[in-house]
Amino acid sequence: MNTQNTSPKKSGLKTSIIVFVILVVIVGIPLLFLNYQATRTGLTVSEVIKRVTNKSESGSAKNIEGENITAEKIDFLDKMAIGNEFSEPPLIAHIQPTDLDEDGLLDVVLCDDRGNFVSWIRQNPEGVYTETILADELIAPAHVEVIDFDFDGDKDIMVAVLGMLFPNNDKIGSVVILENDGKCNFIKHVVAEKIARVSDVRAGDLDGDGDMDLAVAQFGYDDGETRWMENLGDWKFKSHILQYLSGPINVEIVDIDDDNDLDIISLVSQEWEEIYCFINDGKGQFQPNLLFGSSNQDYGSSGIALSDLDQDGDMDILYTNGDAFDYMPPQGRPWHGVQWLENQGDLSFEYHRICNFTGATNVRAADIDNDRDLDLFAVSAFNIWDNPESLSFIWLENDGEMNFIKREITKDPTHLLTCEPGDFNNDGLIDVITGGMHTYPPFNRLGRITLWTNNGALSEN
Amino acid sequence: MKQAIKKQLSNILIIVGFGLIPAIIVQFFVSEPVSHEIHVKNFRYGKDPSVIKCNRGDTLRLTFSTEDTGHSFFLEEFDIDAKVNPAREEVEVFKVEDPTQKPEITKEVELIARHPGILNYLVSKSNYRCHVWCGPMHAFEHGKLIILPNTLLVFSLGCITGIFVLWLLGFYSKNLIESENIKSGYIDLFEKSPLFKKLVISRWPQLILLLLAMFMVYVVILTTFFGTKMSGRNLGVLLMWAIWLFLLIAVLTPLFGRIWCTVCPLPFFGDLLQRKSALYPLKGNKGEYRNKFSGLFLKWPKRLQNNWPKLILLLILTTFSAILVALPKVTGMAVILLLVLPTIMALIFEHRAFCRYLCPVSGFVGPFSRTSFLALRNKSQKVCDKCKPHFCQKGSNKGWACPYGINVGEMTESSDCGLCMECTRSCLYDNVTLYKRPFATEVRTRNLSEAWLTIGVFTLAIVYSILYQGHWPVVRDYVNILDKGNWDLFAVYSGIVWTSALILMPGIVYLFSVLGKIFSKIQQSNIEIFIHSSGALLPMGLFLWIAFVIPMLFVNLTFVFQSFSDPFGWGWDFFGTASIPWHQFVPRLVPWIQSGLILTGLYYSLRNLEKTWLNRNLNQKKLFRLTLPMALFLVTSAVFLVIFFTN
Repeated sequence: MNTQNTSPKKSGLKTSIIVFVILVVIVGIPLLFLNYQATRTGLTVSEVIKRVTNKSESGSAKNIEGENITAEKIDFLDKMAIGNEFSEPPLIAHIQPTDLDEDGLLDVVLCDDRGNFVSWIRQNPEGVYTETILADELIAPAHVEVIDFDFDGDKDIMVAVLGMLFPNNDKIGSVVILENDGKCNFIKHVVAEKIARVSDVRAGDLDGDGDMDLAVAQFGYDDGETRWMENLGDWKFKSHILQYLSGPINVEIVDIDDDNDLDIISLVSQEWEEIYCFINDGKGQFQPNLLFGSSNQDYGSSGIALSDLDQDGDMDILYTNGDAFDYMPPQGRPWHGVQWLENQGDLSFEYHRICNFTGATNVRAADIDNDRDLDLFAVSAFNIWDNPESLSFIWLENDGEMNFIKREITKDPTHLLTCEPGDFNNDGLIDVITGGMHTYPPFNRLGRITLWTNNGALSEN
Repeated sequence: MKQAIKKQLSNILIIVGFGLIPAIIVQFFVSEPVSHEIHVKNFRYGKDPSVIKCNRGDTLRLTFSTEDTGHSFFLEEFDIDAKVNPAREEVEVFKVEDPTQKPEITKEVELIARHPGILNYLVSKSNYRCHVWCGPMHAFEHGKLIILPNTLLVFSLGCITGIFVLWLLGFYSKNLIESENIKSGYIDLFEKSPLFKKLVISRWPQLILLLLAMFMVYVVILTTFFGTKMSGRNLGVLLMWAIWLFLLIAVLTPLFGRIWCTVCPLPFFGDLLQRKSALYPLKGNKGEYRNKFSGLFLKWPKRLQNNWPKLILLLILTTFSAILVALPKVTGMAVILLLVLPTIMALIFEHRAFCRYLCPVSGFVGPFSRTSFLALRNKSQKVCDKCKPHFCQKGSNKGWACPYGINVGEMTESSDCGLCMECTRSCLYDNVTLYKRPFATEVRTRNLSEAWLTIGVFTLAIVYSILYQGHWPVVRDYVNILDKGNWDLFAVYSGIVWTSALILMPGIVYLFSVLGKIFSKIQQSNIEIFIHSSGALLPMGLFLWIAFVIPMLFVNLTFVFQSFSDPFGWGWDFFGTASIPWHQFVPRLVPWIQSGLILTGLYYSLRNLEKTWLNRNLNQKKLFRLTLPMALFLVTSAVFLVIFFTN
């Protein structure tokens, strides 16, 4: 019979060591992870902790912020469908008003995800609109930007191509540049492909070498990223990944810190719901900064746009949250709405909620009533369309004190994903175009491209 | 030994022969290929039709629509991933092999129901799934393509006939007296390998493995709480419900019984608080025990000293399984609860009360450990009979008292033993060892609660299979309280599960047991026959569970690699696998594996059904009549399960 024992002192020491190791692991592992994440994102550890722990579950009544100041409808926009006729519910992902042929009349370049093409609705002569496909076989184009990319005096088109409209993790996205030959014939250059779904691409000289580079938002699904692509010439580019977060919807190029180089601002949706700014050192080295993050991980970030809304000489960020693709049915939530981030300098932005607007997807600024302050237009693609009173298009009248009064524009068509202001008839009044993305029923109030012409009623008021 | 292997081999040949003959014959009944036009409606969470049946060589012209959001028709075996968009007739058809290739845009996808080479004759079932995230239960959206003739189905049904015939023939050659030696075929592993003995008895290897398991649990908690909310990409969810569950069910339990309990981290903190030592026992006494213990150390209520609480907890877990899998945080909360509860209980009750009476994991591994190859037993019964201090049960200065309250000298079943190895240390006579033994040799079911637990876990395997691998989307609606909020249907589903596990299936087993009694006219009570008959479900139950977890891992293997590379979904890529495209692991082979498992389970279940009644003074006729109804139930179950998995 073996009765030899271990000394209690030794046993106690060993137990203490084991408990200590466990405690070190319990505390050390998260610290390692947080530190790693901080290094990767350029945030501080405390910012990472805040970011990770400050996320709530899907929104509830407590997430609804702000109050709507509403007023009666003023009929100042006359509606007119332009572009091709349609037989099936349209899927317009993006529109950009531009004078592509430089004939003095605004045209529209658009992304049609039903036909998988980028087309041009040419206005010529005034008031007559004819649509021509510029490039097809682009699966689910998401965004266009018209800019003279190669500095040859004509307008080229940057196209972000998702590869598929609905969530997909496969590397099916691409970046396409449509090079204008000067006669509005376009040569397709696929400058990046087989990458996570591309939702936005913008051009700008990011490394200060005199040519245009690209900032690219890749929504992906679980594996999205944000990158910039250095122009090497001859339509060749070198990619530099800025961030590996899923869900980037928009990128904007702007000199946000006023240091004479271009920075990148991105909106990252999915479960992040954050706005980042990548500060350029002037040579294409970027440092990420978190400008805004919602604590509601179902916030539904849907778009940003830059505008000097308070006209103080710096760019503010207009921001909508209303994405509802995740829901069944894909209908908006009460915490959806419109807000702006006021640029206070030194990369400090103050959040202002403007109004609640279920399913809000796009907001743009323009002085619609000619009172020298900027008003806002907003559209909704995910309102509760079974309710005939749900609005798809509103404007927000600025009272000059940065208070906004919400006014109806229309309930028909529904499912408006995108809107852009512009003076289409050269009458000095701001008109608007909208695009409809009818991904789910009801399909009883359809619209593809709608031109809303300002009849001046507002100015007369 | 050689004789036994020879016999097993000849049995296998006979069974395969029974399967092969109809499988070959059926090849001569192939219809001329025709063309089918099929419209596939996609919706959350299913396809309509959910079953497409056609003949080998037929041409299928598929069109698609969706009733809600975007979906896809992902048929890996035919290299098709058709993305379906709302309000649109055209689909984008991607290649599964290389999803980055430019898709074909078409209104109609044409596929010829034919596999390459020999596979054309062997593969009949393929699952079409959704590869566009469409909601929290997206992973369970699937249907199946059945290509006739279904070689596997015919082969499997032939094999079932073969197994049944072999079982029947056994009655004409059976010696109804088995060896009385309950350790017949047992090999003493400690004797065979002194190094293995050293490793087992030393506390350090076990502690290191335990700490590794604890690390895994910690990663699960961290990732489920702070990682991505997409469960298919959450490492915690995948670690728990794909990897761990697969290892537990398909590897650890059948091979080593309750070996998971050896390294389970759940009771660690409770043990630490109770023992005030992570390793060696402290000098002192507590009540009848020869070790020092802290806490109130109360006895667990006598009324609850059975398997009912475990079964109830297992049923609760099953009821909410869809939520556990779909919402990472719920998995995290469940794990935390499973860590906290044993710790609190250790402060109140003696030893590992949680593990013994509540743990749902031991509710599963306990019964099935009786089939495993590994068993802990004494070396010599004589030594145990002479030992009055019962060091194994009451502890000694070398080892802790058995946390499961077992006296090794009285131990003939493995289901209660958590393989903590403490008795290998505490026995001062060095009379405890580990044995390697033949598969499924323990046949005794001891009491009603054990019988109910056995039937319960068998029923739950069927429930899980139907729920997650069935092609009926309506079934998934019954558990969908996540985004559809079907609480009324959920109540019905819960009622069905609980009724099936607690009343319906035990009722069926009871009915067949009584029928056996009536046919055989033996004197045992109905309850006694019921208890014994229930044990026959164990092998088939275990193999059914394995058949269930295999696709759970094989379908999700890509996501496992992705999640290891990016555990939180924060955009990391440790191993370069964070964004590899989704591929299932050997999808063509899965129905064959599942069918093989059901056949193996049936073989052992029939064998054990008969074995249970050996040495009980029953003649061949009586034995045959007693076991025939239950055997027919087992065969019928196997037929249904084979049809379910292969057709």
